[in-house]
Amino acid sequence: MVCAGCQTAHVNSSLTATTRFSGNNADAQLNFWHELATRHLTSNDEALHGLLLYADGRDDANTYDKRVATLKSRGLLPASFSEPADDAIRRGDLAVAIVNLLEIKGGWVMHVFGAMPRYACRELVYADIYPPSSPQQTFSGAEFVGVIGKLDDYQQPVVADATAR
Amino acid sequence: MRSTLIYRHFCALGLICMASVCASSALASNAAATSASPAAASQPGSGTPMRIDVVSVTGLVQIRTGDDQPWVSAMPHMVLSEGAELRTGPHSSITCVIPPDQTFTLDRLGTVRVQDAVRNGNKVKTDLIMKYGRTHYDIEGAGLEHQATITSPSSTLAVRGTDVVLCDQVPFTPYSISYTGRASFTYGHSTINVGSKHGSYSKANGGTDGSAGTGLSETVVDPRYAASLTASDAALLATEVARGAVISYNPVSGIQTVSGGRPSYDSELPGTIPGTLDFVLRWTGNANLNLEVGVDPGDPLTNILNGFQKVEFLYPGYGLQNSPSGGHIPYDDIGGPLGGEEIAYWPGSHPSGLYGIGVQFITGLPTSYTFNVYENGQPVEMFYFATLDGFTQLVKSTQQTRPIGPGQFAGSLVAIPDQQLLDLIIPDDPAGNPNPGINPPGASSAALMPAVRALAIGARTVRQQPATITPAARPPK
Repeated sequence: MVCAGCQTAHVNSSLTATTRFSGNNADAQLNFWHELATRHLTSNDEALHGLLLYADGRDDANTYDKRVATLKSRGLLPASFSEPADDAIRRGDLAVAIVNLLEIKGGWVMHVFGAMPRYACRELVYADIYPPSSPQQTFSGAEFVGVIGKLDDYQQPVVADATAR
Repeated sequence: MRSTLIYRHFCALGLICMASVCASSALASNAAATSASPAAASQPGSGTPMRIDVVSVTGLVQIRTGDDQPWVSAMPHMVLSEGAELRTGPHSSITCVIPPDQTFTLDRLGTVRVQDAVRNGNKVKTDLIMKYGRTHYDIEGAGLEHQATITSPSSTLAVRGTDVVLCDQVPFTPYSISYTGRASFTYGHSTINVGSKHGSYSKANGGTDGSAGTGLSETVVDPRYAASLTASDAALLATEVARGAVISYNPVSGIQTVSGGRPSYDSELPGTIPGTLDFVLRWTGNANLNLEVGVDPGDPLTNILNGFQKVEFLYPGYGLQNSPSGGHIPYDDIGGPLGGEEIAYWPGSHPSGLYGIGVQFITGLPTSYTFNVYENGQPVEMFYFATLDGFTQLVKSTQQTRPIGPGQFAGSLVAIPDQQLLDLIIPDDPAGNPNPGINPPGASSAALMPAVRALAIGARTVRQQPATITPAARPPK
């Protein structure tokens, strides 16, 4: 029962399964983001697709395995990452990818041991990219979109301010 | 007359509150069933519908004119009307103008619906419903009576003749910002005023008792947040980002850090300096150098005779990035393969006196550094020791370039305002006045020297003119 309780939730129908949401054109990308914002959970597949869209403006990997391989090859995901595609993304796993993407060095623990879910999560909370969180929590679709918005603010504060003004 | 005015304000406030409640109700209905048609909740007010002009689009932005209409890519010069809905992707924004005096911008990952945009005589009513995201709303407020609101699922911002921002995006607390004027921010069951008439930047988080409470809760000002940057800092950092630098924040030193990118070239530098007095350190090697500026206020000549006394000190970080007289260092450049650039500047008036500009080698490989000082946009002579005719003596130059290595420190003295007596008696640096600076790869420094010399001569000519150079006369940034 304890093991079952610790399992992360499953997402039944991932948005990335349909071309309407998984393409690289503007329509598919915007459909993906704004449909995701209505979902109760964000799957690993959706989160990694979103991360690639955010980082590159496109996602040429057609499958979850290719997305994982792409992110691992770029050092954004740890080599040990092996979560199923339809599991809800854990905040800690996503935090590792984000601190690597943003080149956040963190405190001494991250300097010594590298990005780990627990400390990557805490670092993002400190940087106001995450809300106060534990690494085991998941994200709803709207929360994931909100965090990606915060990435934008963090990485391009001036651009955000300039466009806002 | 006074009572009439008060009555009009009271009525307007009442209308705003009613509009807020109505809009909140409409949005609550939408939030409860997002698939339900928002058009059913839309009840445009009586009056003449106003046109909405798309003036700027960045990144992925789509619009639709109604719920049953397809999304289409937004383009500048498109004309929209009531009921239009906008949505943006990452790194994107769209700016619309509702003539004559309203402008709103929806930036990254948001969606907004223009619920009402009507004009009835001298009254203009505008309601924006923002499902999530961040919207900047600016009303000039001259001549017309505005009744404008931005409504999100958990908050409402009533706007009237102000320049405001509303951000509402889970899982974060909504907040509102007023750049000028006062807006009414409703969150939960409480309504607070944000900003004040003719006031400046003010931010209120939802759930606080206003700007004071928000300011107290944010006792550590993190300059990473865009709105906490001054316009000058924002422009400087935008320049760094445009050159490929990565912006970060060092919580230990408490200052924004810049890594990567490159230093300004000689030709670019005069156009990027932000202040009335600017001290610039540039370097080209893979090293981390830090700029230091000391101030000895008073008469420069007297201070030279008495010896330099450091009364104020500027350093990138550790609380030393601001000085009592207004000096400021906006960021700490920690360098990169192409070098870096740091700047200290006074945005307004600056004290007369003797200034010291220094460079401290922090980490990395030996490199060459370049100092520049500008007062009111014009280069100023720096005084330092160099070998001339086999002797080490004091020389001057408007641009100093020297090597520096690990553990070393170097500095120069600068008289503000420039002292012609010193300029006359102290010889030019044998390496040139100005020294060779930093130029694009492939550009011959010898070929560029005439232009640099001409600039320096022009600057000296300008300084000899009796007319005062005002900040307004500075070259455009």
